[in-house]
Amino acid sequence: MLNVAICEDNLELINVYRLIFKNYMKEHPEHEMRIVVSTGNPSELENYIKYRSDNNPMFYLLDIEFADSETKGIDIAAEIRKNDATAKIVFVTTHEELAYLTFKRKIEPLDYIRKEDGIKAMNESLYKDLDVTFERLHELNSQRRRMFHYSLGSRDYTVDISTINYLETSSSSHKIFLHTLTEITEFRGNLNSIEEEFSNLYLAHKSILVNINNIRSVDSMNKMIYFNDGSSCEVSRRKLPGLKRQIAQ
Amino acid sequence: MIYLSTISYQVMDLINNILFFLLIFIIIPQTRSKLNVILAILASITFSFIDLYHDSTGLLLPIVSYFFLFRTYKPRVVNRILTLITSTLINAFSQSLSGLIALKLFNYDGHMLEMLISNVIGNYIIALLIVYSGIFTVHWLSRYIDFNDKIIVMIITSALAILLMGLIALTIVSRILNVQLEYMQTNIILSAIIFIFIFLGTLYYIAGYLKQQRAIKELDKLKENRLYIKELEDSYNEMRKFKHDYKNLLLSLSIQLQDNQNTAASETINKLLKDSSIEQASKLNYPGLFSLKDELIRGIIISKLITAKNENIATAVEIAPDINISRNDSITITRILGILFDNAIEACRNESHPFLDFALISDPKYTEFIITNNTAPNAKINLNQIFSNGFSTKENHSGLGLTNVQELVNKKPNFFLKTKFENDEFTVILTIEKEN
Repeated sequence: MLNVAICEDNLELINVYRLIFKNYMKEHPEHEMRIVVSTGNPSELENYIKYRSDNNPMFYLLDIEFADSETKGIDIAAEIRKNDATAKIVFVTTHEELAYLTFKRKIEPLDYIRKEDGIKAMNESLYKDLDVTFERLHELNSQRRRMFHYSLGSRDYTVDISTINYLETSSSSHKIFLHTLTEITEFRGNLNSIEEEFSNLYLAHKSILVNINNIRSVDSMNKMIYFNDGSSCEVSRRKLPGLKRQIAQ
Repeated sequence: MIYLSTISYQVMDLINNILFFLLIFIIIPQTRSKLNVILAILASITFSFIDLYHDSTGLLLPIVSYFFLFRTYKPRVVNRILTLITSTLINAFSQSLSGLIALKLFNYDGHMLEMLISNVIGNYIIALLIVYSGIFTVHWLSRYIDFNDKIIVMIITSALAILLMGLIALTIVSRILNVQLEYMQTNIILSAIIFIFIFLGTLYYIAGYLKQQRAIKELDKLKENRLYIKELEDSYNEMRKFKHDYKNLLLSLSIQLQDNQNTAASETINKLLKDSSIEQASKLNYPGLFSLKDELIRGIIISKLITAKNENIATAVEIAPDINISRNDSITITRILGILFDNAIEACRNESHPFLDFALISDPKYTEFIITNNTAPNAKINLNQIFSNGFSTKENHSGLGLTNVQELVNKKPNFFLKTKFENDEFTVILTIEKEN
């Protein structure tokens, strides 16, 4: 059961949103969902969050700015995110109010819906967001993916282990570089403890931990490892036989 | 007193008195008029002859007549006094010097006429030399010093007044003791030495005063800037509020119209909703940018945003209002941001719809700088390669940028760099952990 909460200061728009959700429920009887709150008053939503009794996954539709209240949508969202890492949050906004990067970084919302795109486009976006939400819920229930955790500046981040190519310690600083398919990130950590935790990570060099599953080829002559996406890293001569054995398994 | 024939002595005195007025006419050109010239000559004649009977009045009476020169042109009193003191000083100094030269050149008696003539000519040459070099010096100094400033004029006036008083005292003493020749020599040497000291002292004082003035001006400017920034912020916030209300209104109007099937009207409303001109109007305003206290960092952000704008890159800026950056990190951050902005601008400027987003996020435990730009659709960038020396996705580009950034980040244990490339967007995030 998915709980839907709506907070928007324009009462007419609330009714439009409610109608969209009701239509979605009618068209997708296989998905269980209900609207638990729909309000123009942010403190009402806050109260609901504080005192709710069930453990159902949440879907929030929030206006970013409320004319009559000091509380901004972003503050509510930050509060929600603090206690619920999996909650799906969708913002409804006019373009001007969008502090896109900040929100994306702090709240990691599922989507932004722009009011200036008109009711029809908003309807389509909401449908798409609900589809994605149920898809992810399904995924979450069917298989637990191995996740790699690290923290940076008091915040915790999770990375799907299958996207990691390798981890590397820098010689000049006490930082670990994480190389994934889409990003390179630095954080404080210790390679050895990471190696112990994940069986598919192999110490190919005293300062490099590689993901066996993403290796395309190993160049023994030049002592290089090539990954599926074309990136590469070094391997030490001493570690070469062990690495080949691991890959063969 | 050296014996001179009375008539020749009076003529010399007269010519010297005229010099006094001539100097004034040179220093203040506005006093030059036919009437003033006549007045000066008459006064000189009168006073030279009064001097015959009352010794030393020749020195005092021109001073009185001096103030009659300003009937049409009326400078400040302090300026009048300054000019008076200056011309009196120059006159006294050049008279002493030329007198000394004349006495040394010719014998006490015998060549009296020659001595008088050489005395007068020497007097004029020296006085004119001094006054013109003085005017030249003032002209040159006026590039650095504001001579219209009341306090500076006061300083100079009092310095010269002290010098003049010293000279007068010396004259009186020498006349009482009847040692005119020795007086002239000491007069010249002493006044030259005193002048140098007073000149240096005055310059020193003026320099201090000017520094203080500049500090005051700077403070005023800062105050004005702050006011201006506050105004900008206020107007921006008002604009925002207005836009919010306006869009909400249009949207609810469009809902009401849906029932009536008035397609023309709803089309108009949809057009209005998407109208970007109202966004454009306020595009130059960046909320929060003004509240960023670190001037170095604010400066690099503003200048790079202007560069981006000139390249027709759409920019969006988000800056948290409570940013606090350690002084020690300021320079490193500025260097890093400079490179990252340059890279982002370089990377997206050739796209059909280039955009560059910047965000400065604050948290109790960390500060984050985010720079995002779009790339060519479906472009392939190997993140590992862009960090190695010399590689860049653009031709004619050094590619050293990110390597330099990484080096700067490595030097700071609390700096962490994240580079992401996803969905045709390239993002760099610099996280700075706050030290506790």
